Amino acid sequence: MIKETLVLLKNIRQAGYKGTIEEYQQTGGYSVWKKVLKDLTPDDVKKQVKDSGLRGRGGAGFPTGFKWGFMADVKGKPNYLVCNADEGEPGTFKDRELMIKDPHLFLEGMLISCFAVKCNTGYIYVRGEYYEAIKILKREIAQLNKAKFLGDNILGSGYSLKLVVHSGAGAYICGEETALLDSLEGKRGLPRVKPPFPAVSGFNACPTSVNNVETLANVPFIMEKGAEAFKANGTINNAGTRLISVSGLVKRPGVYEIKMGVNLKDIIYDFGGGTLPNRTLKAVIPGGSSSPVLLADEIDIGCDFDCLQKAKSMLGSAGVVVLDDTVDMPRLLHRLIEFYAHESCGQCTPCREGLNWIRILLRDLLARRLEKSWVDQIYRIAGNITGTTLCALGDAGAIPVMSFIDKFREEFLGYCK
Amino acid sequence: MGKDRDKDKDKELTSKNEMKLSQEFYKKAQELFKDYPKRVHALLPLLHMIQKEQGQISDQAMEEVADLVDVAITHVQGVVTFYTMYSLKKRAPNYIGVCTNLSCWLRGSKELSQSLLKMIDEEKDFKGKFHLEETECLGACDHAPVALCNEKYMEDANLDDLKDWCLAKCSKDK
Repeated sequence: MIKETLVLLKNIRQAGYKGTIEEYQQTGGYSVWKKVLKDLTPDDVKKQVKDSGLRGRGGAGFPTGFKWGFMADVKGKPNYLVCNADEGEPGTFKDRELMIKDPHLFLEGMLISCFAVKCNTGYIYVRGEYYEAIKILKREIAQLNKAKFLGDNILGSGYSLKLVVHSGAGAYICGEETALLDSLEGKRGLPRVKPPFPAVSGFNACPTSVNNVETLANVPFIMEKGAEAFKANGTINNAGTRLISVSGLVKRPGVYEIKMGVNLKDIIYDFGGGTLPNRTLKAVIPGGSSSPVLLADEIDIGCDFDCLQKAKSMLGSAGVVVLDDTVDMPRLLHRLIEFYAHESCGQCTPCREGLNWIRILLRDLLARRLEKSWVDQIYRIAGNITGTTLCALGDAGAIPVMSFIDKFREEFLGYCK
Repeated sequence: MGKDRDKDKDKELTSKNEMKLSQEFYKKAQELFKDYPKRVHALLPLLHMIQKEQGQISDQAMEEVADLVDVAITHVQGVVTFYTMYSLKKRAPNYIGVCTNLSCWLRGSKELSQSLLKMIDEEKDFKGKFHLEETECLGACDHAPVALCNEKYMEDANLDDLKDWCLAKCSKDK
């Protein structure tokens, strides 16, 4: 029986913990922030985070320290830190858990990170449907201002910071960092051509770092216990713990915190409680809906960025969705593709047209109107989307199509004339 | 004929006046502008305020907002039609969004949303009071199926609880 390694969920797992600023301080909260302000320079913080090997928890897994290191100091242009709290990857719900149940852990991480990148106005872009998280964050930021942990010349350090909570308005694409920046600028959320990367020209054409909620929530631990302590939880290149969202057809869905590298099968059975009564495991989607699906006999692998990549899938946002023998894979894929086709921003032809063609064809397939050769045709269309678009949404839609057909071809053919 | 046309014009003018943004809105907007380097950056929160206040984003509102943040009206139209939380047409006062993405779909949310639609159609007291939508992942998959009821999540949602919620809303309105 495996156990959780509690770093981010340390407080949340305490019975009765409500996440107020007083409670958070009683557990030692904001002592790191005070220490950073008193004793450290932004470069010290940057170095420690870089040394820790922290990789972004939003999906791409890019090293956070490097991301900050790329930020150019441009005269006359302020630096910005924007927190990506636009959680929307189907099957992922860890950021909401953090923001609602222990907002100050995340906020302390945000404060320290803003300090590290010399930012005086930090934005938290929360998806619009997270009314509750938005309300809580606004309320707790007011508390921070009252406690003088935020504002002008914080605790006499000479450093000033303002935090703004910005609400999205219902567009999955805004989770892509450059689309998010456009959205924050009051535009439609269209991914930008890169380069320039946000580190050079991001929000309002200024140097910007965009980081996920969970990523930032790791920063207080790294600054308190050191880079080595952080690395100790995890494997080489995959430092730290990871929040895994387990959902779908399991007994105990929920957010669980593991050392990176813990076996995926153990997560599903020990934490998730396994499949529902009288059902058998059919497949697992390991990293949010856009990650390639794994068969029941393929899940005996470590849960980290590299192991899953070796298994030709990805850890992505660590949204583990469990599928059992009652699931009709072509129907499930159709639902997924409806989603991706709807969320395509429409800039790139392969994504805008291709995903919609696949949607229409799958609909026809389910109505048993297609001949067998069409299954390969659907596969080909998906193949022509990958790698041909500005952002990863095209791939995110096309990859499940190919992996579903690769692994469940018989089910697709079964719907043909 | 001419008289009718005048009548139409009167009607148009009244509806335009009804859609005028409130003084309160303009006051809040000034507060919002302090949070951003440029006024246009506040466009999304401004539109949220209008949607909440008026249940829609009307042509009149889009024009006023374009003036306020000084961008082309087409820019505002583009934004309003891009994001699903804004609507050009007036929505019923209470919102119910049932998540029908992956984890909720696996737990029967599609059937739930269809029964809910039927119930709202059939129940005479509910007429015109509820705006029902199927939404994408709401990020609470551990409690699938999830419904967003106005601004609150209903976790592990079922038809009975949703009906109770609707009934409670109706009795409150009376």
